Amino acid sequence: MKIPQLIQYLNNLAGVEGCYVASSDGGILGKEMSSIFDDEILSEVAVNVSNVMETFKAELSACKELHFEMELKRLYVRDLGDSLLLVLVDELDQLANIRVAANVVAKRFDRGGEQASPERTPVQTTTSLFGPRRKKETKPKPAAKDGGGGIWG
Amino acid sequence: MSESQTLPVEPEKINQIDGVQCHFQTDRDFVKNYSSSEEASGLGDLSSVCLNFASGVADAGGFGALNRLVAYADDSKFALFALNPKTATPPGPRIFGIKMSASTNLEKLVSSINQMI
Repeated sequence: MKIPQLIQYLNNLAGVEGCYVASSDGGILGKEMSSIFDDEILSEVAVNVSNVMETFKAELSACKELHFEMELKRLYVRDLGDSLLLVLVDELDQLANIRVAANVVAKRFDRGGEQASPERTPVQTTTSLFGPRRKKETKPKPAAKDGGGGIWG
Repeated sequence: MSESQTLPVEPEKINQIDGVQCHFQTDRDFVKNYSSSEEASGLGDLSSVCLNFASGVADAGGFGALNRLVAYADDSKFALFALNPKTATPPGPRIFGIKMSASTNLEKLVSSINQMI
């Protein structure tokens, strides 16, 4: 399965708001996302997601998927080997189905092994894998909501 | 690393919840106050790094504050989330990192822990 097919397949699923495929250095390999997210934003998101994935692999070697539950959006990520599949999820109830579908396309994608050329030059960042990205803070801010809340706002 | 003044929430009870493999807890400043094992301690160390990158995800996309981060492996998953007492005074908000079996219902687990606070 090639990237455009993969993206089309996932975007037809209930609960998917949009998705894209990016290399670990932020190169956008294919996308079908709302126009509010330009390539620079998507690239920066992908670089940070890639860093989270690589960091987790230090303790969870078989880590292949991530789910970021944020105040305004939910982001599901599937490791495709040399690249990442990033899916904006608008219905949490559909996450299990999206995970199944992503695992299916990841296997087909792996077998196909054919990847498109990046549409753009990756954004240069100063992010390093084991160093803090920002100088302003290195610890999560507390949340104020009762019974749960943001761990980093 | 400074020592947390916040006591952990019922660590033994959390360890005994069905599906829980190991866990750590921190205070609101991400200072660990409990690790159930060496693995849990290691997860706690890398979680602070992950949270920093995860905040980069939220910031870059304009997605708002990060409420929960879950990493899925083949036969397990690891969830990082915050729970706060009704009054934000000492012992204050707490952050939990829990590794569990893949089939564990995370919502039920969070609900169970929330009732312990």
